[in-house]
Amino acid sequence: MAKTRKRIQLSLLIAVGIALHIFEIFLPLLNLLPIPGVKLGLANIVTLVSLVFWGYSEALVVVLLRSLLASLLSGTFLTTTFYLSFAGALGSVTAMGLAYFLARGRLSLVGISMCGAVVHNLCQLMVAAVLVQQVGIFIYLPYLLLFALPMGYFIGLVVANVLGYLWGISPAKIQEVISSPRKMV
Amino acid sequence: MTNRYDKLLAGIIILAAFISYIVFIFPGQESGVRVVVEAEGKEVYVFPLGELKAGEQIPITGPLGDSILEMGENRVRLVASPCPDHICLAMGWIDSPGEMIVCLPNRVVVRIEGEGDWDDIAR
Repeated sequence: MAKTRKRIQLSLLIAVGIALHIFEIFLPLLNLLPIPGVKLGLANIVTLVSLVFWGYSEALVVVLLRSLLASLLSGTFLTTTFYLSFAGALGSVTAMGLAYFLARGRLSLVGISMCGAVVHNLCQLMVAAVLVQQVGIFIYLPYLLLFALPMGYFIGLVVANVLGYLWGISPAKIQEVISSPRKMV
Repeated sequence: MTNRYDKLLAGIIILAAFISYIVFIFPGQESGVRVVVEAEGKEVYVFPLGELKAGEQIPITGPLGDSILEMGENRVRLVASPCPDHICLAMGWIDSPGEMIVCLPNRVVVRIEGEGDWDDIAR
């Protein structure tokens, strides 16, 4: 029974992730800035929620399936966009996992999601550099690093509120809960 | 919601952004976009787009005679050519990577090369 429950919860989170991922494609914000790759990273909300709620392996499953299915639905599967988002998602979930479990509760959700946003952008740039065979693409790195801060902050706040709602506690008390030691996998 | 470790992390990220700005952007502008001039299939001039002296004219010698290349602010054009059709003059100014002016009769190619070609791919 518990297994079925978890499976359903994971599926729901993946569905929410896909919805956010695709919703983000239509945000005009991305086209206003002259820097490619600047995104809100809304789907990272789901990644971080599943990371804190279950753990790294579940978060990894959520991220991989979300990335794969969202690319199938938006028609970008096996295109450059897909490789970029896949690498970014994989990198960010791993970075957030490490930040969450190694920092032992020192970093708040905001800090963890900033780590995720920064590594997300780093991984994307590295894959982009390989795909276009141009190291020069790293001129975007400073801007992407700076943009990772407000995006990470925003996502961290959202996740604190979502988890507070899920656990039925106030978002301010989340830090105490995530400070308790946990296993990574 | 945030604590001092978060602020430390944010500080490190801003510092990293600053350092990467210095590392990647400052040298990038020098070696970045350049104007390449070819005559009869050989490269005769290469110069960075940012270092053009506006108004300066350079003759490029082809089989028919000299085509005159004029520099502008970060752009170049051909202003005179011995070719019969003057299509190359009609091409006007070029300023971004990938653009080129071709004068087939005089076998002169002026092209802009450099980073920026991958903008559309990265998006």
